Amino acid sequence: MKEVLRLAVILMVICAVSAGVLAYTNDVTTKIIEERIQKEKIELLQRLFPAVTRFEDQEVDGRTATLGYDDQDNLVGILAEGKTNGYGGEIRFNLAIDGEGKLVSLTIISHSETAGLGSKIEDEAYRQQYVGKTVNDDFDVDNISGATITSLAMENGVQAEMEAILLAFGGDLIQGPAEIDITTIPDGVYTGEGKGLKPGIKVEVTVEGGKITNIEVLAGEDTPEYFNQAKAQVPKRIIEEQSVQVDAASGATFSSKGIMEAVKNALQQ
Amino acid sequence: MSLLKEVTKGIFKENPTFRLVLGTCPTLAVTTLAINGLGMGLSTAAVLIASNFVISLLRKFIPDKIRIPAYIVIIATFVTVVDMLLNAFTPELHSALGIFIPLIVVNCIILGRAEAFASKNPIVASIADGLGMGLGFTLSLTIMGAIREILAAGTIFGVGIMGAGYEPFQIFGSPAGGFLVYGLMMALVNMFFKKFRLE
Amino acid sequence: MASILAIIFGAIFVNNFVLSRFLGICPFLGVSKKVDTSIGMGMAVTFVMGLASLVTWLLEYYILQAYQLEYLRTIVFILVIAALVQFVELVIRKISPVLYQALGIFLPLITTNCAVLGVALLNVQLQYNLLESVVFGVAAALGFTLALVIMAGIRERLEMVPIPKYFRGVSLALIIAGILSIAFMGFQGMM
Repeated sequence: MKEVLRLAVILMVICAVSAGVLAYTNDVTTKIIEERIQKEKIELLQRLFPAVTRFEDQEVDGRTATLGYDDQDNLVGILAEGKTNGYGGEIRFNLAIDGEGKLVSLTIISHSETAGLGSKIEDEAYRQQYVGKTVNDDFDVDNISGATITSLAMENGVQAEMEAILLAFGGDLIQGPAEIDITTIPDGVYTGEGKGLKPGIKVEVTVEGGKITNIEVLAGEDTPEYFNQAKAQVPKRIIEEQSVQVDAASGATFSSKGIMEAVKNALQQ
Repeated sequence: MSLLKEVTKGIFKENPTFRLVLGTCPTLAVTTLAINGLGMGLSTAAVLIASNFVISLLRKFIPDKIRIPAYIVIIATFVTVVDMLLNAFTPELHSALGIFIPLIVVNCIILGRAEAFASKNPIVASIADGLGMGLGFTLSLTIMGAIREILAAGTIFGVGIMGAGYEPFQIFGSPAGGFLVYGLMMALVNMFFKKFRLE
Repeated sequence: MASILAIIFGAIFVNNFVLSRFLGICPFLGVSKKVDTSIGMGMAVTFVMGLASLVTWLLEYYILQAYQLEYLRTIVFILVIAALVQFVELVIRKISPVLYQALGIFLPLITTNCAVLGVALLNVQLQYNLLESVVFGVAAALGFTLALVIMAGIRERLEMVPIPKYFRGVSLALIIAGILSIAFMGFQGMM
């Protein structure tokens, strides 16, 4: 019994010393690592979006992004991760989107595509093709020969993820329409167009006695899931508040702003 | 003189990679680039020297019955320290080596040397042994990394040396290429030792 | 369900532990001379890897992450695996001497099999949940067994073949493994 106790004590001493050493090293290195990550992030943001002076990390629906703001607190850039399923497995990439909704940079984080073929998605020349595109643009870039599946996965994946990122974080990127004086508008039925995430939102606005009495949303090409939310809430709010600048339906910022824009355009004719 | 012998045996006659065939997993996994091979080799060498030193220092204090768990704790401690230091100061190398840094713990070279050498020999000799084995491992990994890098990318330590017309052999960057280069190098080393009757 | 199947197929074929992730090479080269022994080794590893995935997952999420002790991960995992192997050895010896005879000699070798620690670390890295971790552990071990048995089959046939003398032993085994690895690259497009 005494022998067992002796062995246990010795082993405990060794473990305690080792835990102490590790706790100390961890303490020292964690600070260095955190500082480095922060520094790298701000450097990256400033390279992509020169106006950035402040950034913050946000999480929406399990997706995280770094949002960069300029000195007037305007959102000037979003940095977020996206993924898609390629030929050999998951492809993870970083997207940087600027304040006008344009893609500024696409970098590949990891992939398991075929070496020499699909792996060319890492090439600067291939990635550069995506730069400057907005979600509404055509994402049909030059395919990598011999790697059609990888190429298609990238085209669809980058566009879909960009859309999702903008929906989650890009609420402030699109400015709502300015106020207009409804009381001066003669009675009648007006139609107007607006642009949500995609162009083509059409509305019909009825004005009676200097008041908006009815809004019909005629068409829209945004993702139905979001568009229907906006359609259900925004026209009602506009009529209630008699204003073309109302709160957006949460989670459907783009479609909401599109409907507001369409109503405004109708009334401005 | 005998100390020098302890150092050189690890580099040459008992080279862990090509003669003892120990630590094969990292040898194959990280040698896609010369710099990764060098980084892995030096990390392993650092752990090996430190653990040999501590184990030799404590060899009279650690009872025989619990020596294996004690060695594992000591080795794992140094591995974790190296892991943290790499993450703090050479983040690129840290992410390139990935889980093979914590896996240094189960690299048979380290536990093997602790058991076979450091637990029976004085401190200075144990450090010399660790240094030799560590350098031998580093040298082998760097050479393998360099060969695979030249074949697969036409560069060495990131510097292009093969000219613009060089068409790289992609296969040597893939896992299969790792096995092939290792196998062929092993045959070459066998030939060398047999030809010069070194064994 | 689909993701579970993808994990199984991925771990056995696409990212085979031995031929693509380079984990468990030492036993792969050492114990692949006979088909019988390689099956025994494979079974022992499968058992330990499944169990290790379960135990290390629980430790990671209920102890290490809960108390911000992630920096002790390596040391805790390797000690747990070593203890687990000892424990499995004891239990098997008590309850089934037949099984012990079949697996017993391989068990001490498993502690330093980097596939076991590797799978525990990968489960954390890939952020698998408990079920996925155990499935991944078992599937990865089956992939290891598959590679081991194929290798043993080839090496048994090579016994009677005249081989250039410098290539005998590990050298040839590595080259065969390289060719097997090329063959397994063919699974890449199937995911």
